[in-house]
Amino acid sequence: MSKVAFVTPRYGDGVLGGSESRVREEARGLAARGHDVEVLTTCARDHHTWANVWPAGVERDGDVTVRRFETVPRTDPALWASFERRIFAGERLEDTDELAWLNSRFRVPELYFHIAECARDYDALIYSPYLFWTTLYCIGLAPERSILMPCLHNEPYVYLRSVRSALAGAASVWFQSEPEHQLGHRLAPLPSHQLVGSAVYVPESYDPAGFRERHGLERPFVLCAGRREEGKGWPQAVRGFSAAIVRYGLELDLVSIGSGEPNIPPILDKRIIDLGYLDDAEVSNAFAAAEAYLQPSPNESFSRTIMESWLASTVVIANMASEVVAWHCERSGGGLVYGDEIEMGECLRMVAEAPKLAGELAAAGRAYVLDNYTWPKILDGMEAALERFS
Amino acid sequence: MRVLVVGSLPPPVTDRSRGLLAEVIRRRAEGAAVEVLSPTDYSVAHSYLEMPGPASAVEIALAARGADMVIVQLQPGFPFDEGAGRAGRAVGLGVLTTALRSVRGEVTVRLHSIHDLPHGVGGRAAEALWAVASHIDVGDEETLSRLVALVGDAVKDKISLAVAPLPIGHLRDPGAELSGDATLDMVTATVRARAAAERRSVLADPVDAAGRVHARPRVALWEWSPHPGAGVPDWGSATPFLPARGSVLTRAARAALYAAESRSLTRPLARGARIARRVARQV
Repeated sequence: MSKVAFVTPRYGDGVLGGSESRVREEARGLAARGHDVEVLTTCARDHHTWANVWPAGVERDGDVTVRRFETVPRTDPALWASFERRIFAGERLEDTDELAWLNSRFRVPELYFHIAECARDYDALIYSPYLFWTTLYCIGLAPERSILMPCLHNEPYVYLRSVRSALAGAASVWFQSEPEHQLGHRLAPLPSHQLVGSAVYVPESYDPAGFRERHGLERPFVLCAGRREEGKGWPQAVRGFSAAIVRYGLELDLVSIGSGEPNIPPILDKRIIDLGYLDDAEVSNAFAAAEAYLQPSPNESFSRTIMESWLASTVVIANMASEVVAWHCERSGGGLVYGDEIEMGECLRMVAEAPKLAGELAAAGRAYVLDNYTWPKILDGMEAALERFS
Repeated sequence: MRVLVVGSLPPPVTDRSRGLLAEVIRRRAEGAAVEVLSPTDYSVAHSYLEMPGPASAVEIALAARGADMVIVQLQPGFPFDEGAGRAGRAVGLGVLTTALRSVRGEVTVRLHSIHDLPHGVGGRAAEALWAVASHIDVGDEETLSRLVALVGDAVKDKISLAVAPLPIGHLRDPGAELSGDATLDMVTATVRARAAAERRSVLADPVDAAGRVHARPRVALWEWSPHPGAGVPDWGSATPFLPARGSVLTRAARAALYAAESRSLTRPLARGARIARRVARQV
């Protein structure tokens, strides 16, 4: 059995994000199989402020030991924003400017010192996701035992030298999908790497009728889950949905769950319903109750939510700008992809007009998830990959 | 016990930064609460020196209040600019010495290498600094012997070799890892760490080891790239970004501050104004 530490910027109840959820499931899963698992993380919950909300120190999350370290939140937002703008303009930054940009978001010096002191106590240190101080600053401390689970997607940040350096400088890289793997090869000379995938839990049952009743949802609806942010495609989803209901007179509502300010235009407040943050069981019920799941994000490295949707036998409508999601939809035959708002509207129209066909697509998606992305399979793969470190 | 460390930890990983990291780790192991104040705004630290060159001594004096021990590392760019002449050096060392005189606890001055102090370790300003130090830690034998030869007997007893640099990253001690009694695990760890360093070095070129040219950035946002593979739009050169919040007066003040910071002559004033604003807010 290995002694493993996951190094991740946020961990705990109420932390939203695919990679964060994944790390938690993996840590718990490996601990349940008898590995000695620690999570080295910050006291922050919010990824905008990085304010310390949990106390620093050691706590338990089931079988997992969680060590929290205080963040030093951003001190110079203007500096950070100016670098951010240059990165998005495709400008190549000096190495020191890159580091200054990363360092000005938040930093965790006590975590760095802990890893510097204790790295050799662990067989492996698993860093995830890639774009945070906790990964890019700390991964070089003990490269011989560092595994990077980057959760890459094609965005300007991945071309930063510090990111490419982290990919090249780990002992191993674990990818979640083939498009992510190919992107990794385009970025850097990779060390030993595996396609370990990711997984979702299969709920024992769903309660779609109860969900509709509890939330007063009388009309059929399309679900959109996750962070309501520009980078996750939320504004485009609102725009595309509103165009579709006007253009085709669709009798569908859009239900949104997750974090962030939804900024629903007043004219649409009867058709776009924000339910905010829901617990895991209720999220599963939401997927089952929906006619379709809308995934507008172009920045996905795995997309747990489309897997959860397919498990609930709900068809997926996804933005093809995300190579990973398009790849899942094509491989599974369970999802429709769109390239613009008009295609999104046509997808919604198809779901409204041909529910039987949508159900058949969803069934193919469910079979795809059960064949490839369940926790026992993923944990088997992770354990096999960890053997070379123990 | 509260210890203030002034100097640059990694990154970048150098013998000097690893040496200071080893010092931090040692003090933490002794139970001290260590706070790091760094002259470089990208190195690991709790806080950073905002004022350039000699003016930073004021910040050090403020930060050192309440510290039981202060450890200051002399390094290129601190306490005077790398390109400074003898006068600049004398001023930089002089104000640092003045700042350290106000420290109520022990003062350790670190000099990793003789080359880290331009114009040598001698001179009146340097001697005053050695005199105010309770301990002087040096990184190698050469620096130790040069320093011992230059300073008087009263100071000699303070000088000692610093703790060995922390073997982080690929900069581990090959003798320890690959000696005859090394285990397979130790050798494997060394091989992996060196391979990681080698792969990172390949990134110095825009073309990777297999001869492939790295792709240019692609922005996968809806408006710009409706299909995978679309290119980044040409936005021209980047312009400084200023937050749009605040009144007209606030925005004008921010713009003036930014303009002042972009010129070397007015930069100290601008940074001073920024610090004053921060201090005022804290108060």
